[in-house]
Amino acid sequence: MGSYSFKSSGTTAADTTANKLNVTPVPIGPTTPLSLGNSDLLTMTTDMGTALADNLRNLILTNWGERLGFYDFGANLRPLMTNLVSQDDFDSSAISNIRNAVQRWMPYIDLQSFVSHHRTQAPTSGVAAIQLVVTYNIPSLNITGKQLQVTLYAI
Amino acid sequence: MTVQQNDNLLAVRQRKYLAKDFNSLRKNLLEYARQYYPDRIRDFSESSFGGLILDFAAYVGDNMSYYLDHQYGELHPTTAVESINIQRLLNAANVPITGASPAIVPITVYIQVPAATINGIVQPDPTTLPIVKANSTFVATNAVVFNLIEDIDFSSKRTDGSLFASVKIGAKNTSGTIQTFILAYSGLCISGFETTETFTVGPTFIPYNQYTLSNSNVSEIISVNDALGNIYYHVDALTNDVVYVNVLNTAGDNDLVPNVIKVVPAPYRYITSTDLTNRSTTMTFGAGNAESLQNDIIPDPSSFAITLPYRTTFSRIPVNPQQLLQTSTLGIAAANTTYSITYRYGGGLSHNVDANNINIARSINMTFPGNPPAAVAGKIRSGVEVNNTINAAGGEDAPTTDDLKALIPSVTNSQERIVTRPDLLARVYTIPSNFGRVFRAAVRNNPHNPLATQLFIISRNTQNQLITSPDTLKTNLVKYLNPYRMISDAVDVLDARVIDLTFSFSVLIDPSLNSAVVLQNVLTQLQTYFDIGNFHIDQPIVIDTLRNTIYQIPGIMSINQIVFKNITGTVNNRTYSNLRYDPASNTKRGVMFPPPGGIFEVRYPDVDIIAQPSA
Repeated sequence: MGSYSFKSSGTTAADTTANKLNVTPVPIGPTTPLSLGNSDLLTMTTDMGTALADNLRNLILTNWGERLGFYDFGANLRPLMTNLVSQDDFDSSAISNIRNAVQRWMPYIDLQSFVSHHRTQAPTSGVAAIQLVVTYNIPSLNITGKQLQVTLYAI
Repeated sequence: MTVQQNDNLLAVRQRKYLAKDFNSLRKNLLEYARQYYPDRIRDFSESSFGGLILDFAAYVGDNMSYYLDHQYGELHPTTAVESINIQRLLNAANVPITGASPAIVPITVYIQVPAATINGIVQPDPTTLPIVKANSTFVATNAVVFNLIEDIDFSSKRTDGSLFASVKIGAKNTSGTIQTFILAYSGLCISGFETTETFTVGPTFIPYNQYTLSNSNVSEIISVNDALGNIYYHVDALTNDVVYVNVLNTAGDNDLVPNVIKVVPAPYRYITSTDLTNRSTTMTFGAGNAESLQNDIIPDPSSFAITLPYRTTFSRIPVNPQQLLQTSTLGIAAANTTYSITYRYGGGLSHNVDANNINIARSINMTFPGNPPAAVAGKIRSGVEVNNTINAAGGEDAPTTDDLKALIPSVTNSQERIVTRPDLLARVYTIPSNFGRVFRAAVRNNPHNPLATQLFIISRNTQNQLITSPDTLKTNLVKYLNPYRMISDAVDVLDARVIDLTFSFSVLIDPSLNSAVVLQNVLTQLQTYFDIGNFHIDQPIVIDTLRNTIYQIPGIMSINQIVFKNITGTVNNRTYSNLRYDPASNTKRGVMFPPPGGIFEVRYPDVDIIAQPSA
């Protein structure tokens, strides 16, 4: 048997669990395409890596003149898709556009690699398509080797 | 109370209202979102959806701010840029939008008429003297057309019986007998083209019916009639129900006052407006239906009430405003007729042709009141020659929008009414000259009536001498001033008091000079000084100024004496004012003052300025 002071008795593990706060993650931004959320009006991203991946995808898919107020926002890949058949250096042009856009609008992303390939299956919409796979790091968030895949259709 | 107010302030989300452009609005919106919605959304970078929403909101705010600034700027003439708004501002300020202005020039018409011996005097045959009617047209060498705007009556005579036209001997036969005379008489011409347009009005009456004339730069609408014989008058506003018409003055003073103002009711009336961009003129007619108003001079008020079917009780009788608008208050117009509009258009700097450049008579409308033989009339008509001895003037290109905008402040300040003394004097001096011309006018307070003003006026005759203004001129002046007068003001139109003076002086002249020449120089200088054009009503004479004037003449060594004397009545067949005046008692500290409403005059400078050298 021992002698204890009430001041040093502390709390039990059970008490701690019972009083544990139910912490809700703070939303960062809406995911795109927009969709209705469960607790919020829209489905929101709650971790920074997902939010930046969403932003990067939007940046790559946006062409110049589409963003209100920022004419030169976006990788502007659509012009490359208009003469896809006759253009030999699509990859180099696309890489250049993506790199310039990322440096301009998302400089905290470190681009690693770029892969493009024509979609192999028969196009259901009747147009050709190219799939781009971009591998990138986000050093400030300790995210490495994350991949983003987007599909571009010929015009 | 303080605590409650603080609570209210805390409950209000703080907003900033200073942002006006895209960047500052976006910045403020970002701060607002981060302050009040940190738990809802955090990513507002340009590449994020949140940033897109911020951009949208800032863009809308930027646009609204731009148009707010723009619209605010459109409220003031100096910053307005849209033509429609500038036109509204010009209209609100009563600045007339005008097109190119025509040039005006007197053109001399020369005719050759047979001679006739009447009472032993060889003179132009009076039965052959024609009248060249207004609307005759002449053409300048640069193809600008000039229209005669007044009749040229070659038979008109002065009071002494001589012709106004200048007469020269034309042809003589071999025996030296005068066969023809050449008469020359000038008439005022205005450049531009005159045309008539017709507009057909349908059977349905349309209030405020508008018609736009097909030619721009309309300088004058000469006449507007409809097929029913109604004459439409131009008014400044449709509420004006009278116009002032000048009619020929048949009284004895018609040499001084050619026309009399006559007030004419104008139930049929219209206003005009000119488009700022293309300077086309639009006419707006009245709102009253002539058809419905012909029956009742005073309309039945019950006809304005709206009928109340299916109701047995009512609190007020509603009135049909559409019916009220069809009264004659804003003028009336006819339906189911044709308007005939004659107007003059065209102008510009090119219309200011040089002298001796208008030599072609394009169409001469000539009548012969004396009914001479057709062959004689035909010969006179075919022999007409014209010329302009002076340059045409007044032609101006259409004022630019900036020119018109610059007029707004001055026009706004000069109200269409008489408030100050300069307003009254400006109106007196700007009465159209055919209603008589006031030479000098002065305004004084009425010592017996604080609400009245005394207006002293005086005219002058062709000999440059002061004469009492004719009664017709005063009557015209009263009618002319009345619309500008405030209802509680009174203006007493009085004759200025003319003080006729003689001026004598003696001077010491340099003996080395010819005294007669020096005196003549002094007299010439004094005649210039005493020229009536240099004197105004209530203007005193400063004696030292006179002395100085004399001393300016080379050869004057000293002035011994200066004497003013009043001269009245008739002296040696010279007629003076009857007003008696004592110069000595009215001279104080070297300044001679006229009586209230008085004006000094040296009526006959050749004899009333007396000089003599000192012994």
